[in-house]
Amino acid sequence: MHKSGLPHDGHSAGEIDPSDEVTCQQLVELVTDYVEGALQPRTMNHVEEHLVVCDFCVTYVEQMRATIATLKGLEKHGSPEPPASALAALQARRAAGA
Amino acid sequence: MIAYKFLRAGRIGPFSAFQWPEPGERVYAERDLAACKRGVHACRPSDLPWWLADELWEVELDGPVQVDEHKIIAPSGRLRSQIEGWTPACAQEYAHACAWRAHERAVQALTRAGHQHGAQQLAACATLHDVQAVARRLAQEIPETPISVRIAGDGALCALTGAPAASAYIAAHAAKRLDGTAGYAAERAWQSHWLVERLGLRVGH
Repeated sequence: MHKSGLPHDGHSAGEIDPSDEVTCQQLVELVTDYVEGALQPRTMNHVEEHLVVCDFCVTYVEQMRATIATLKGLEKHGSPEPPASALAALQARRAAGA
Repeated sequence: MIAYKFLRAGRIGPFSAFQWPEPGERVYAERDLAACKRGVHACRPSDLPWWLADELWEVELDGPVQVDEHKIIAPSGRLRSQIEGWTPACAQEYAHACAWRAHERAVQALTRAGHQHGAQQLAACATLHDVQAVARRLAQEIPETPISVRIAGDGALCALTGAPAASAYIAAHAAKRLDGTAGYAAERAWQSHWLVERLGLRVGH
């Protein structure tokens, strides 16, 4: 089942409530800070509690981690140079005033 | 201090992906403790319902222990022994127990809302498959069906599909719908008590 069917209750930030839990939508907004370890402990706690019950968000976080790892790999290898034929075509268009 | 820790199969930390060494070998935090980031994170018995995973271990924590929301953190610790009673079958049993608790809440919600006939139909369910089917039907037949009924259906489905953490979560929220934050806390306490009793865990060490 998709956990959006679960009875998530969206509480406002700072509300003191032992049942304060993040929703799937909130996790999407927090995911970048979560994978970078930049969340405040209390928010991190709630994100991790949500991940215990929500397989869909676990998958989402894993996909985000994989994407970040792939992009870091690209940075390491530098941006690929465009092929000479493409450069020549661009220069020809520029020379023609296109 | 003796505490507990849920790990993925193979002694893997669910969030850190850290592989714990063999029981008895001590693990140290690299530097100062930070909740959710650094330190040996563990559970008091009352914290267990929030962190269910494949394996449950008894751990021994050393050094000053920080108390955080639903967890404790220490500068070092070691696994002592795996709680053998926490098996897939036990997890399933726990999930079913939680689903039946959510079912009871839904019956109460229907009764309070004046839907006596619906309450009787739901109360008469003998299996979680019945709960799922009746909850679905009542939600269609009674437009103003309390959300607790849908919650009970979700809880039954989670229990039947082997999702104990979600089943417990649902039961806690079913209680919250009925009795507010105090109901939520009481339901989580009931879940902790179930685990402590069923698994013979230590309390207050």
